[in-house]
Amino acid sequence: MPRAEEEAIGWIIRLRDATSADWESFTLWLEADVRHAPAYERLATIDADAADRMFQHTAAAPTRIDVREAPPVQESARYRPQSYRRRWLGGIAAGVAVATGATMLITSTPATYAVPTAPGQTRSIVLSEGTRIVLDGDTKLLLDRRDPRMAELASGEALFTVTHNVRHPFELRVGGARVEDLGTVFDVRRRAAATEVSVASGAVLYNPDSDALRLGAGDRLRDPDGPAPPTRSHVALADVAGWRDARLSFDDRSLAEVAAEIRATTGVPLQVSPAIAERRFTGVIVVAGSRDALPRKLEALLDVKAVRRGAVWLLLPAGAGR
Amino acid sequence: MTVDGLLAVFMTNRAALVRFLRARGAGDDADDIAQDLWVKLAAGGQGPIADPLAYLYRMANNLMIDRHRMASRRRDREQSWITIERGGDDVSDEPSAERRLLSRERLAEIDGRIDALGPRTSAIFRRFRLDGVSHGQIAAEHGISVSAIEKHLRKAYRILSAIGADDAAAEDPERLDRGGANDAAG
Repeated sequence: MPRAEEEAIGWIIRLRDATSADWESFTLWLEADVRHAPAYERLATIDADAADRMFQHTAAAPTRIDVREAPPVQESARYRPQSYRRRWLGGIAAGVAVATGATMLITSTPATYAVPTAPGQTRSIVLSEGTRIVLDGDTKLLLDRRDPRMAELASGEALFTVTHNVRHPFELRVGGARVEDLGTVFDVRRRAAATEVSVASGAVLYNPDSDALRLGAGDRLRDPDGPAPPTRSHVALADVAGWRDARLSFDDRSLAEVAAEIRATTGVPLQVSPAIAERRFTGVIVVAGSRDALPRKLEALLDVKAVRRGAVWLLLPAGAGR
Repeated sequence: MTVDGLLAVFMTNRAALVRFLRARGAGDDADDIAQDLWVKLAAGGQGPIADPLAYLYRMANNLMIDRHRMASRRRDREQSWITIERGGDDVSDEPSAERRLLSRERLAEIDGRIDALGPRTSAIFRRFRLDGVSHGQIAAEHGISVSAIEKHLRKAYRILSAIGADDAAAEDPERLDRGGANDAAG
């Protein structure tokens, strides 16, 4: 047996109860010879595979719940794909640069692709295994040709209708969180540094590995980026993915968010004056009908003044001059 | 140790952890993986931790192990996808079934190697690897010395190390001809 492999075995054994000093020595050993890292990698994989297998023999086969609740120190004996998946899709988000001119962008990895929509445009996608996704305007969704049970909502909003498969739940990544379906129709919105999940039927699990929040029909979860915890509220079922009926509902949202939402759904370019961008709005806005009539309608609903500047509509405080 | 305490230890030792990840083969992804680690820590849920820095190294190491295992599985899936696309008369109608068979073969190989450990080595290995018991306690249980325990563990890993030794060649000899150099990188 090669010396690198013998030494790697020694490290596998020693690292189980290693002190930080041991880990530093291990780093030096890895750096000492290019053969060391691959030798250790191979053995560590075998070690994890064999431990998984023995664990299955010993106990009943672990369910997903078991995996979720296992103490973190036992991680190496489990199969934990999530961190890899997040990283991997995140990399694609950055890598989507080459436009083919069509609405579909092909990434450098041929099996993965982004599906974008322009403001005012919607788009429907059917994946195998019975998943249907409808994209609102100004949205980017990342899909994997090889794995139809996985998607990432990079930005925007989409409605997911998912047929549940216990063995292979549908998983959506959004804003650093994971949403796992439990057989469901749900809407996910990723805009303005926050993630919002609204469930129309069935249920989803939000961040099954950390928050493990179960959302049922009529539940809406809002998770702002940063350390603040997600909040949960109720949503009328008709308001879930209301954008599909040109019916946008807002619950204590800033005018900046409201404008971004309307722009995404209708394609009408709106900008909100900083003076009122943080003003809150709660209510329903029906944006169906003529695009030209929309700014006037918003004036009444939002108590603002709409002024045209070139291609853009500015929303100003109602009392503003001209 | 609180989550804040762990995060503070992480920040203080970030450079050392990134260096470790790089040495472990993370390459340019080392910073991203360190970031993943931070996110996991911030999520909380850790039990009592005696040596926080060692804990962080262990988590980083586990992330690398998961990554590697995922990459192998993904290569398998990719391979089966390419097989479908390529077509031709050498192609199985059910590449996914073939994959399952291969993975059953690997499982059988693992089972065979575990059996080959022999009862005493196998029992010691289980206590060590699955139950997380210390060398000293296992030694006491078996009435042998600590160094004898270590010999059993080394023997166990030598036997297990034969698993998958010729995997790449057995799975797809063609693939080695096409892109053997890339296989080691994953």
